[in-house]
Formats: sequence, C-alpha cells, structure tokens
Amino acid sequence: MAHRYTQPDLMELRSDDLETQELTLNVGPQHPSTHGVLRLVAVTDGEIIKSLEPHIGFLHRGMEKNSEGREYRQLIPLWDRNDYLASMHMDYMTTSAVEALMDLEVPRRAEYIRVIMLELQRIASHLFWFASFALDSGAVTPLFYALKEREKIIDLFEMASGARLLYNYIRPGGVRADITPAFMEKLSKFIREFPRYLDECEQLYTGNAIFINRARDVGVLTREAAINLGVSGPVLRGSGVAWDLRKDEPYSIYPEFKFDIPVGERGDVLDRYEVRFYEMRMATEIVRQAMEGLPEGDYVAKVPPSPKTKAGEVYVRQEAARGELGCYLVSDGGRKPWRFHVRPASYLNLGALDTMCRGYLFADLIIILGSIDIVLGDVDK
Amino acid sequence: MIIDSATIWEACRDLLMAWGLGYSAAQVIILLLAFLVVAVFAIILVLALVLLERRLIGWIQLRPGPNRVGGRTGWLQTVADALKLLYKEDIVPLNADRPTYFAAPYAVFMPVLLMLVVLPFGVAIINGSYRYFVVSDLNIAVLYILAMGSVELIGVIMAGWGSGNKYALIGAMRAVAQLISYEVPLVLALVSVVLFAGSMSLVDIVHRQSSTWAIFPLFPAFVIFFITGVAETNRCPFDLLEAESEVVAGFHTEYSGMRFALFFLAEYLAVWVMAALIVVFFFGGWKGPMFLGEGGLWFTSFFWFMAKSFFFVWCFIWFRGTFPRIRVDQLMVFSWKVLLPLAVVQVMIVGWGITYRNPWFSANVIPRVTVVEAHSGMVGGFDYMTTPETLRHLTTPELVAFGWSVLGAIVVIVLLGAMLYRTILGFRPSREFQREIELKNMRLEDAKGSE
Amino acid sequence: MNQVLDQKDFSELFSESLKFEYEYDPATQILRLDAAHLPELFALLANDERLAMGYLRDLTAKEQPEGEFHVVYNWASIEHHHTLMAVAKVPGSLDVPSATQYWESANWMEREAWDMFGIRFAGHPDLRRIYLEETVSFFPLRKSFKVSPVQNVRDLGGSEREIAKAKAKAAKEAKEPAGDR
Repeated sequence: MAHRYTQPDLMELRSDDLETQELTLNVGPQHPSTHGVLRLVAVTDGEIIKSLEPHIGFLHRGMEKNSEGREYRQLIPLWDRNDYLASMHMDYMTTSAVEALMDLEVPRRAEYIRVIMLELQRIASHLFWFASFALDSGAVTPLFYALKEREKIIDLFEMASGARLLYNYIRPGGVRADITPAFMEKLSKFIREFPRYLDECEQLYTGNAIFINRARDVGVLTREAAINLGVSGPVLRGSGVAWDLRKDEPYSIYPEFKFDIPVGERGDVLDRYEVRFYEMRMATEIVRQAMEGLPEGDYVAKVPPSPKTKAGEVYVRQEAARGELGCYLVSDGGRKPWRFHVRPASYLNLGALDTMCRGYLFADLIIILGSIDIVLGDVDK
Repeated sequence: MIIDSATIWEACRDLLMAWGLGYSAAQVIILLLAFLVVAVFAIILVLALVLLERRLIGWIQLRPGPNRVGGRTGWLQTVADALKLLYKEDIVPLNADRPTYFAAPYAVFMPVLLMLVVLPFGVAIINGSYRYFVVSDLNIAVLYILAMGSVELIGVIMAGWGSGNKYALIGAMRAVAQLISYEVPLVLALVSVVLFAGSMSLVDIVHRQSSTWAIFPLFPAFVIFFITGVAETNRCPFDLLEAESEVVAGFHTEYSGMRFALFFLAEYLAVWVMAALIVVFFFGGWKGPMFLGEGGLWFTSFFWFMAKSFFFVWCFIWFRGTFPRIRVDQLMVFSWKVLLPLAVVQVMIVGWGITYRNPWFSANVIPRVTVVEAHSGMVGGFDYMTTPETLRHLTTPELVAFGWSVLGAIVVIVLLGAMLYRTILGFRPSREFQREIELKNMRLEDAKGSE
Repeated sequence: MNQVLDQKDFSELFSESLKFEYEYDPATQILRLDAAHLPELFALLANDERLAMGYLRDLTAKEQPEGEFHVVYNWASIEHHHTLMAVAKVPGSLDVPSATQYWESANWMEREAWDMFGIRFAGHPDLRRIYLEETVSFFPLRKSFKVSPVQNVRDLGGSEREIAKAKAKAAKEAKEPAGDR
C-alpha cells in the first residue's frame, strides 16, 4: 500500500539544527482547479500543509437579501442559479420550504415525478463531479465518458422542463409539466443502459494503481471530526457515518423505496469516491422503482398564482447531491418570505478542508478539494 | 561476410568524388544535405505526429478530433495551427529575463533535433556492402544521446527562469528533479544494453540483435527504459511539470506564438526519438520480424523501423488517454526505490552472464561488423585527442567542425555564466516587491514632510 | 416536510436541567430562550447522553419586525435520530456566546451571521467577515439595509484612487448642484 505521509513521519527525518521556515502559499482565486473563484492560503512546512484557509465570497450575490423582496414563485428560478449543477435539488428546496408552511396536498404522481427528477439530478451531478475529479488528478478521458452520460440526463430534463441547466421545474403543489410517454421510453432506455456505462467509467479509472496510490489514506476525515465539523452528504458517509436524510429524516415519498446507503471505512479520498459511485447505482435503482410505481393522476395541485403561506418558521432539509441542503424559512403570513436562509452543503464541507489537508502534502490539496465536490456558486450564495 | 560498411551519405560522397569533386567539398555538401534531409524529415514527422495524437486521443475520448481543415481526416490541421502560431504576437512578460527567455526554445529544440543525427533509420545493401541510413555512425552514440538529453534540460530551466513566472519556475524545477532522477535508471538500463552489444554505436547495437531482439534477454531493462523514457519525455503519467491542475502549463506558461510552437515541436519530436531509441535498443532497429529474415531491401528496413517506432508512439498516446497523473513525491519514490535497484540488479545479471559466457547472453554473438571507413565525418572526427599537433593534420572540414564546436562551447559557457550572474549577483526583486519598497519610501517621505 | 424518526418530548428533561426561563414546544421542537443562557444549553446538549446533539447542522440569525435579533440553531442527533431548533433572543449589545467550543461547524456559520447581521459571537476564535470585504461598513441582511445603489465607494472596498475620484465628484456636485433649470 501507499506510503502515508503524516506530519510526524517527515518531522523525524529533519534534524534540529536545520533551520526551516514556514512558507505561505496562495492558490487562486484564478487557478484552473479551484472549481471557480476560490482562494486558498496554505501555510506549509516544506511540502507539508500545516494549515489552510479558504477565502470565499468572490461570487457572493446576496441571494438571501434578494429573496426577501420576492414572491415565492420568483424564488424558484432565483435559487436555481445557486447550485447550477444540481438545479432540481434547489427547486425542491424552495418548493418544500414553501409547502411546509402551506398545508398543501401534493398529488402522488407529482411526488413520483419529483423523486425521478431528484435522483436523475443526483446522477448528473455525481457524473460531473467524476469528470472534474478525474481532471484534477490529471486524467482527461473520464471527463468525456462521464459527460456523455450526463448529456443523456440533460436531454431527459429538457424533454420534461424545456431547459437544460436551470430547470424551474418543481414548484409548490407539484411539477410544472407532466412527463410524456416518450420521456418514459427514453428514461427506461437510459436506466437499462446506465449501469453498464457506469461500469465502463469505473473500469477506466477506479482500479488504476496510480490513482489508488494518490487517493488511498489521503485527506482522512475521522468520524468524530466529520460530525463535529457539520459536513454532510458523501463526505460524511465516506467518513463512516450512515446518515442519509432520505432514510434518516425522510421527506417526500422516499420511505416507499428500497435502497442502500453506502458508507466508507477510512474517510479518505478513495472512500468518498466510492461512496459517490455507489450512490449513482442506488439512484438508478430508485428511479427504476419510481418508474414502475408511477401512478396516474394530477401532476400538480391547485395553487393560486401567487401563494400565501401561514405565519411561522420552518427548517426543511433534503439530501442533495452535495449533502444536506437545508432551508430556513420565516414567514409573516404574506406572499413574500420574511427571512429566507439556505444552508448549502458545499459551504460546510469546504469548511472542513483545513482539517482534511493538515499533515498531507501540498500536491494532495487539489485531489482533496476535488473529493469534496464543491460548487462555488453554492458556497458563496 | 560483408566487410565494407558505411553510411549511405559516405556512399553518396564517394559518388560525388567520382564525378570529380574534391574530398572536402563533397564532404561538406553531403553533410549539409544529410542534416537538411533529417531536419525536414523531423518537421514533417512532428506535423504527422501531432495530428496522429489528436486523432487518436479523440478516438479514445469519444470525439472526432480535428475534422475540418483538409477534409474529414483533418490532415491539414497541424499545418494550419503552425501557420496560425507563426502569425501570433510574440508576447514577452515584463518580468522576463529577456536573453534567457529568447534562447530557451532553441536550447530545448536543438538537442532533440541533433539526436536524429545518430539514429539509424535503415540499411541498404549496395554492391555487397552495408550502407546505413544514418547521418553519422558515431562509436559513442549512446553517450551522445544521453548528453543531448541532458542539454535539453538546460533549455527547460532557462524557460522556467526566464519567464519570471512562479508557475513556470516551479514547473522547471519539477522538470529538473524529475529528469535527473529518471536519468539514473535510464543510463543503467542502457549500460546493460551496451554490455550486451559490446558497442556504443547504434548501428552495432542493431546488428547485434540479428538472431534475437534484445528485449528477450534484457526484458527488465526494456521495462525500465520504457518507463524512464516516458518520464524523460514528460508524458502522462509523468507530465507533472505541465500539470495544468497544479502548475498551469509548467515551464512554457508564458510562451506564445512560434516560441511556444518550438517547445511543442521539441516535445513531440522527443516522443518519436524516444520511441525510435526503444526500437533500436530492444526491438532490432530496422530489422523485420525474425521469421522474415534480414530483409534486404532498403525500403523494407525503413518501413519496419517506422512501423515499430510508431507502435511505441501509439503506446505513449495511449498512456495519455488513460492514465491519471502520478504525485510528485511518488514519482521520486518510484524512480529511486523501484527502478534504480531493478536496473542495478539487471546490470549485475548481464555482467555475470557475459563474464561466464552464459548462452542466454552470448549464444548469438556474431563477429562485429568491421567499420572500414567510419569516423572521418564532421562529428566522427573527434574520436582522438585534439592537440596542437593533431590540429595541424586536420582536413578543412574537420577544422570547420572543430571551430564550430569551440564556438558552441563558448556560447554554452556564456549562457550558463549569464544565468549564474542573474541568479547570484544580479538578483532583481519582483515587481510587487519593488512596488512595496516604493510605497514604503513614499510613506517615509510623507512622514518627513509632515514633520 | 421532513419526518423525524424518533422525535421525543424533552419537556421533562429541560425542566429538570435548565434553570432559566424558556419556552419549549414539543410539537415543533422549537426552544426559545435568551442568548445569555446559551452556554448552559450548549453544555446540556453536547454532554447529556439522552440528548447527544453532536451535529450542529445550521446556525443563522433573523431580525424581528420590532428590530430585535434572534439567533437560530438547528441540531440533530445522529445516534438518537431526534432534532431540536433553538431560537435565542439577542440582547441589545448584540453579543452572543459562541458555540465553536462545542461544535466546530459553528465557526463559519457564526462568521456568516456576523457578516450579514453584525451579531458578535463572544469566544469565537476568528470572527471576521466571510463573504464581504473587511472594509465594508454595513450588514446587508438587516432590515434597515435597503437594496439600493451604494453611495460610498469605500463601502465596496474600492481602491484609494476610486475613493479620491468619488470624493472629487461629490465636491463638484456640492459646488454646482445638479438641479433642473
């Protein structure tokens, strides 16, 4: 197995009379592999990272302030833009927060369509993560294999919603448009073929000794640290915590489906990688079950054009592609939110980067950052 | 048995002399011609290689690759790219160390081109004697190739330093560390080949593999040489110095236009040269498959040489299409802790085999080809010590060659001296640093003024 | 709306452990208290085996119509599958005890609350703005902050030159008022 470079190991090699100096290194905000505008300031001792501070906010758009002046239906396309790689999850976040304060009966068909869309979005987001992660570790080819599959999902979304990236599809009461038989046909073809293509992606990359050497025992986040740092999603499960909101705090109709939660053992980069791949397979399974059980009926409930909510406060959360996507909505009983706060998963996961990187080499930084799967638009709100 | 063997150029020279030209004139004309042919060949080869790589990588990556310029095959794409690069603005960063910056592309490109001088492309049997397709059949060709490979390194450092860019400098430093550590197992792998063949001349090494290709007795050496070859040409998975996710584009980050194209040219040419060297050292050079016999025609030898070398080029491209990048410290660990011991053991085994006449290493010993008329060419003229006495006996072309090499040595010394001066004595703070000093001075002046 | 698998009624637990005034609604799992009493609550939540709120999932603030601030905490217990929301009333001095010594996840979230609302968290190791520049003088999520063109360039963290330019412009406008004539 790979050598593990922890701080004490290399410190022993260094004799005391050698004068060493800590070096502050700056990465970004303009750098090809910081996934957007992220600035990292690392204090290194030789090649070893002693501490690391992410500087964020370069993409801050004041989304929460903007939300306060807008009606609920306007919030959906606004927050679409927050995590542009998983727009369906953002749609569902806004929608579920509003629905929680509305006493709405959502038709079962709409719930099934939502689950299909959410799980497809999870696959699409994880595929994009795989593409960029492989690119970070220096392999270009997986990008094309992953994006080829993502393209099929995007085509499906386009058939359903008319948009390819920012869907504005899930809305209070149901979804915007019903899915068609042609969509179902294409979807069943995709679900049939996708596991094979996923195997192809894994064959291309997972077993590669160079990759295993780089990812195994790198960026370890222990179970306790992961919980204490508030990370969520695949990062938390990679650290060995079986915590998936679809099972542990279920929402929508997820209790009706049978699926497993992958959990890592060591909490390193490779575990996070494998958790995401397993999640893609499980998401395919959920979509298959949802397709089989898809009932007939309405796809949207009767909702006034500009819905009013009752006064109150609620914190709703869902298992989005990157982790726990929470939304804290305070309403004064009007058509606009009094306070609309979003808890993006990337934000807290990025906060754990310092803990993950300490004691590892500077060259590991990029691959560890890639394994968290951040979207800077999501982090910066 | 064929006793007379020489390069094809020497045969042509004899032909010119038979037409009535003097020896010196014929020699100069022929050597210039030879180098010109090889250089043009190299350029065309690189154009083809770039296209090949892009098409093959495209095929691996589920996309068509270049498919517009010159029809669906896109065969004119690299020509168009070269023309475009020629017209591009030549950007020089303000921070650049200008002489070093300008000289670096040539310092990288020329050594690779010069490596072609000793590569035997094939053989023709004319009037019962071997005529090799090689500019010069150097008897120290292996050393020459290693030396040229190291000179290339200087160009890389010059580019990294001269750009005045942190990423370029880090890329260059990585290149130095990587190339130096991979040169050691590479040389040791070659030592076993040289022991096996009993000669450093590439022509002799190919001849030695008449009945068995060297890969069979020297398989570990082949593996070592192949891996280090990939590392020496900075190809994936060892392309750390141009890892775009870490150091943007490495040492040529700041280069644009034709200077960038020269780096590009050098990289691809080096890939082919490395593939050709693998063929020469381990796969019987121009010789076809053993069951086909020697293959007497000149174009079959040329065909086999090119076919085999392109197979290894394909392997290089294949690696790039499928491998992730190795981490910088694992790269070093791999070289020093895996490849180097393996190479040392291999050298010991080959040495033992030769000393004790192990049939595996010495069963197919053939009498060495007697080189009747070698070592009188431009580069070959320096196999004896150059003293004032011998200088007086030199022919004109040999004197020109001597002067040329002295000039070259002076240029290299001057460049190195300039770099050292820049590094140690002529340290220039970066622009930000300068600005900081200026600001500090301004603040001091302000404070004085307020008093 | 999420259903919590094993939601318990903490009324008894709180009444025996918390020695200050609070409001607890078992239906919504919202605990309302004064921010001054937060350290006692933190200690209870983190240390009590029956609660074991190891996962601080969200921390934010809100402004009430009458102008007072609330800090809102959301906990979950990964072992016991129950949750709790605490709404703490912030005193006029805007000082709130920090939760970072119990939950590291509070670090960035408290910085965000400081950045957006100007609520100071006493005991926070590194309370700086997280999204905006340090030079910014406003707190955007307060209701008093209106979304309008920002007048002062310095508030946006502008350079010295831009500030000088803006000053010159203001001086010029002061000299000849741009009225319709």
